[in-house]
Amino acid sequence: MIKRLQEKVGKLLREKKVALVIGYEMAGDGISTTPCFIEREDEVERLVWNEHCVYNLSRYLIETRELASSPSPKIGVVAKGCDVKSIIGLIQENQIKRDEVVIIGMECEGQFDVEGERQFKVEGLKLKDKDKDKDKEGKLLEKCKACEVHIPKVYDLLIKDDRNSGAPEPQSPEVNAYAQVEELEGKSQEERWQYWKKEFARCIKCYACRQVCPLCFCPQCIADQTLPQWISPSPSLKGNTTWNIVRAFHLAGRCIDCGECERACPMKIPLRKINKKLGKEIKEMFDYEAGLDSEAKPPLADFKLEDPEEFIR
Amino acid sequence: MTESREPNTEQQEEWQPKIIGFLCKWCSYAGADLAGGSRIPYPANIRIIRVPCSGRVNPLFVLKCLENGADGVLVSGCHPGDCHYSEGNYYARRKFAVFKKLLEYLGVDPRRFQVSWVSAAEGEKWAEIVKTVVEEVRAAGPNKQLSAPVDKCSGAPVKRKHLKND
Repeated sequence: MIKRLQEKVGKLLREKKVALVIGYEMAGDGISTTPCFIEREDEVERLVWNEHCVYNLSRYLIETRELASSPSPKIGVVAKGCDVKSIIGLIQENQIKRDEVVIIGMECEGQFDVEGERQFKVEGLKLKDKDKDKDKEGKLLEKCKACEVHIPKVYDLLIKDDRNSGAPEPQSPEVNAYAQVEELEGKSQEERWQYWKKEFARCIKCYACRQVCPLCFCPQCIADQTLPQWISPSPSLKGNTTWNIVRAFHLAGRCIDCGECERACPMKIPLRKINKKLGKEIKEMFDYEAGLDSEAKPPLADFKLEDPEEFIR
Repeated sequence: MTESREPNTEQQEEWQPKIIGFLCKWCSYAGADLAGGSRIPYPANIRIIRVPCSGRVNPLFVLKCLENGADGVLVSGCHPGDCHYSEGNYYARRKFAVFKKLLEYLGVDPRRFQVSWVSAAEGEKWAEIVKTVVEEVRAAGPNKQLSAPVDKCSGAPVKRKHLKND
């Protein structure tokens, strides 16, 4: 699979179809991967593909889009099914153009929790072949357990998984994607508040969640504004809750659940639990799911006469 | 008169809810004006901020009000179909439907954020709504959830404390 990926990328670069390819390379620890930018054909050997390609590289499309807008060259991006959803989101919100991006879709069986894996290696444990499948279940990222897009919905090139020779896997997972959200919904209002209060109190306002989010592309974030200063920059609890609520709300109906915010959070605040909740509500109220159709109108930029309003007096 | 931003816990019976109202200039603000002009009594706990449209109200405004010590926020606009800008209140409706669900999920008391449609002719309705909202917020008590912790002596935000079990 890696070989074919490298060949295809080499071909794209050789034929000058793309100026740059954003992909994954091995990181220094020899376990995880790190994003890499390939500009020359002889660099393609750096590209890898494994279970640790967790990062959503479409984030870099915003930063490289100036490069893509010059006449012919395009940007190639290695993307999993979930990453393609955010590319669709970016096209939908007029941040990039479809014809400026070459999507190198990867068939993905699910990604592993990098930290779990690292711990595993450091502790010197070895996997036996027969345990591998069992172990995979345990280490699989939460988001991957309920994945519906093992094969990206949109792509220019598809790199198939060699291990799957037969028909593609059924795309309907049995896992309830909203299990964690529902668990929290079942609690009382006070319990929920105590839970989130504790989580938000840990926030250090590093804004890693924003920096890593493929859909946080505002030229100036409200957190950086000083007139008015919406989010207090002081090293206190002030503003923590406001920031976390606003961040989530700004992604309502846009979040494609790549889980990057939660992964990047140094304080391990369960941000996906909020994003998922908003996704669930938007699906229920407005029958809309983010990242599926680049032609659709975003749900909060649209309305219907019969929208729910039982909460209004 | 100096006013403490902190809810007065010692004199609980004297505590009065402080509510911020964001009123659309074309309907609800005129409705509130009519209530005043018609001398319909309603509680003075609401501080009104006039906005061009309920669609102008950013959920961030609501959060900032609560963070800065308001006990409740009421957003009021034109009835669907009556918006001066044709569709502003429809967008507002979607936005606040989602926002309300989010606050509820985070465990914020739902009584603290309310939305209403009040037309320019509904002075009576406006007075009724303010009465109900004030009573509900009064029942909810001082806003200790979202208002930022304030140091009792200096009034400055409380410094981060080392949190156990984290």
